[in-house]
Amino acid sequence: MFLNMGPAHPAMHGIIKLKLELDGETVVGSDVEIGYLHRGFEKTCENRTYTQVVPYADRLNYVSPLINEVGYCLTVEKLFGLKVTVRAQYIRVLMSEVSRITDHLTSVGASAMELGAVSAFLYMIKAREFLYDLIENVTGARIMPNYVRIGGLKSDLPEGFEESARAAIKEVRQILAEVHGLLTRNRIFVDRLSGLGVISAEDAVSHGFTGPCLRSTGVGYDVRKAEPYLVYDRLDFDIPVGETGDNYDRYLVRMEEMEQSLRLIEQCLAQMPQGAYQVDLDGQEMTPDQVIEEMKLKPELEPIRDARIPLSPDLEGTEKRNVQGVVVQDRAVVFPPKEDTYGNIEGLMQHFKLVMYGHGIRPPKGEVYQAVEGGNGELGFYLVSDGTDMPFRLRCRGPCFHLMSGLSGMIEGQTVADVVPTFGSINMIGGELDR
Amino acid sequence: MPTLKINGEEITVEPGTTVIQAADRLGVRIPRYCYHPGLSIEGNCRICTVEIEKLPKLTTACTTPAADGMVVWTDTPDVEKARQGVLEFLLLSHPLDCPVCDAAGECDLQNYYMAYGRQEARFAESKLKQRKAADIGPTVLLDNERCILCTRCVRFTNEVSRSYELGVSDRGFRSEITLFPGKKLENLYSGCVVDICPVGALTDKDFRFQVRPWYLRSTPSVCPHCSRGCNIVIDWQTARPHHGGGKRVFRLRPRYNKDVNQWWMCDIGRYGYRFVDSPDRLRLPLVRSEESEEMESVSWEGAVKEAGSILSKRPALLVSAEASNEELWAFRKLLGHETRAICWMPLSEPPDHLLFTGERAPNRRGAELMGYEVIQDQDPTAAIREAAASAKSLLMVGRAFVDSLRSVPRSVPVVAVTPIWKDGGTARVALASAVWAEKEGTFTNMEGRVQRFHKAVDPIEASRTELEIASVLGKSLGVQLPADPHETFDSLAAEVSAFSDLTLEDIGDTGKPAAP
Repeated sequence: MFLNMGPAHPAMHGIIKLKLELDGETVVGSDVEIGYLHRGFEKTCENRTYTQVVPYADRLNYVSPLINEVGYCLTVEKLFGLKVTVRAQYIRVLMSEVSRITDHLTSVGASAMELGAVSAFLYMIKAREFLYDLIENVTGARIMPNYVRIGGLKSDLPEGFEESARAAIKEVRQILAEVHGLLTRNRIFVDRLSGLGVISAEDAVSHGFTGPCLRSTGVGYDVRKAEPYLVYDRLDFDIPVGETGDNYDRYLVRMEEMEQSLRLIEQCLAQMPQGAYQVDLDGQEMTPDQVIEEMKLKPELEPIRDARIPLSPDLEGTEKRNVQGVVVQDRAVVFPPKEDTYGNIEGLMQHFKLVMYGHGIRPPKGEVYQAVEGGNGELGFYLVSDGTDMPFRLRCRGPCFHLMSGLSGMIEGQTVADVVPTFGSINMIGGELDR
Repeated sequence: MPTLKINGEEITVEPGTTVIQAADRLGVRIPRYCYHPGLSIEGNCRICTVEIEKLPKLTTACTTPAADGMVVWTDTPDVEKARQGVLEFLLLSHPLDCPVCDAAGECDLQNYYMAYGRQEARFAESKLKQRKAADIGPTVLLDNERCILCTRCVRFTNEVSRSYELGVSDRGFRSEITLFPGKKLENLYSGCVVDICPVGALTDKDFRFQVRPWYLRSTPSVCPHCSRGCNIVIDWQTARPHHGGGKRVFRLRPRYNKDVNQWWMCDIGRYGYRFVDSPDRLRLPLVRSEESEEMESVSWEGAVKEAGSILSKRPALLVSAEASNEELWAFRKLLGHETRAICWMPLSEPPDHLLFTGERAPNRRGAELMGYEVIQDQDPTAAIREAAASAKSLLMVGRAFVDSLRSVPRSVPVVAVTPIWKDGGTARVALASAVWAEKEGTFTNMEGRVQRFHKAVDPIEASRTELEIASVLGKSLGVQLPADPHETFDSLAAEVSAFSDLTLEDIGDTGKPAAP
């Protein structure tokens, strides 16, 4: 019997169609049909300026959008040869890890729900909500934050972030322990997962698997360790690996990765250079006390040293307060602080030059590849610049595409009912798969 | 002949060439505000400073003549610092006008700030308040706050338009561009000061607040207003119809051609683009109904059929001298060489000292070369009578005849191929045609120079280019004519001896003279 599972099947989240060939209830063959969420991401980016691409990157893996943004911005920065301030790097790592947890919570929670464990799903969504609150606090949006900028971030962390982050970590830990109690040794849950959806390490590698699905087979590949970016090399974390590559291993890997992400967040909070997010004219980072010391050397700046004057409505340009924010110091790339845009002609012109069509930021000619560890594995951007204000080519290597290529082999020989947890443990995200 | 080195590259130039000109020839771009190749050298903006070995200080590239053995460096740290300083000074009292300034996007302050300056703002004092949006003439507004006093406009009115209207008054930081007492910036070339203004101090009343320049796209073209054939650029945009009240063509600018118009164009041409998006445009083919005697819109097939049956009876051909060489040839071919072919053009006005030839006919010479009988008259009435006298039907091509259609005798049915329509007169069929900005072709200017113009926007609504119309009319009259301008040019070059040496590629962007 042939059975179409999807594209509107409730377990086929994202939109995807599995054409199953059945013998009784056993799957003997299958064909995966993708493309229902194809939006032409790559082609669209060829017709957008470099800055305009960031919100589109959000919509790749929409469960962990901040990682996508970080990946894209790192790619453009690599093309420019820019390195953002250490504080900005820590914030990027921190927000990436928060996003990774939301991604895994959604994946594990949804799979559990599909097996009947609705309470576990609700607990995990509750945990995710704590983290979304945190993200909203920082970026202003829960899901589509558009927070990372080429050369920095939209803004610094808000006041009181550390406390709220620690509170959220505490809550998430508690919920994870609760879910562990509910699921990890639950007979029904284990029976529905273990020994099913098995893929060998060789097969996984040959399909291009990355992320939790690869690590569940025992291959300890993680972009954060293999090709450390940002400040991951300064942080202490473990890469959990499975043994058999079945659904249960993928569940365990994700559960442990969330714990590791919490550790990373705590380390970021502890290590992050406080306040050293300003840069001087030479691009050197400065702490506030250094800024004040430097100001003292310039008596003519005395009257405006601590001036935090609100902008006057006539925008004369006489008032000045320079908060450089969390950015690199390259005016050809980074948007000026709003105080400058509205406050002096240099900032205004810089802003205009960066937003006008046909002007914009212009990376040198060249091509780069930069990968980050996304929620589902290696998320890579291959970018070709022809020296204009729009990418000549932006190729996105989303992990889901490769994971889906292995699905057929993983569900063959299983019953139809086991397709659902296997598909769930792969955690296909339509936005990233079809792009 | 002095030989000098610029950034390590050697170049030999004629004596008297300045360093900036030599650098331009090498493709080394030195920033400039006051220097303009078409004006005298002033050397007041100081942005073009370069380092010349063995000279004690940095020197302006625009005022220094190239000398033998000179070694010039244009991007040393000292030069960069000097440029930054100049920019900072120029911006000290510059208003925060980019959001409301027409020049944003085409402004050399913005461009050079990003390319060379990128300095931090240090100015903490009050900016100077000056005159804004001063009405200095019928076409141009002056904003003294934005002005950097490069005096290009002053030199332009002194040297090129020779109308001596602008000057600099007062001294020091109070100096400003002003009109001489009792004068207005009112000359045939006033629009050029907007083009040469490197900042947004002089803005064009016609273009002001119509559209942001970065939305515009540019197409090289030729001015269709007199027989000079100034090379121009058509600035247009269609992606944002809410800008400029639905206009498609927003602005014409001169395009440098050393043999024709150099850097300039006159205001007749500059502001003479409005008919492109005029409400008087004919957008559909019309045919006069038998019963009601009113013009009714019909399908192209119906209109062409009707036109074909009218023109099968001993036609005469009347075109206005705004038709391209290709169109002149195609309509001639359509009706056969035995048919009387008349080209009407208005009476000549006196030419001026610079560009305007007084002949308001961009292709008079082309019509002569194609064997048309050129009639010059105040209005086309006499030409129409002349053409209608010996014919049983009349094919009229061009917008010039719209007002004179009433003078055609009722016994002669008229097929009008026209982009503009107001009043029917005795026309039986009106075929909506394109204007020059909507099609491709060539004009022959009064010196016999063949120049290409390109298509900027699509023909409005259901109108079609004249060549397409000639081609479909040809089908109903049994004449094979290409609708494509390139094919038409090739066929015409093969037949008309004056064009026999020319190909469209040879003509290129700058034009080429036809054989005399």
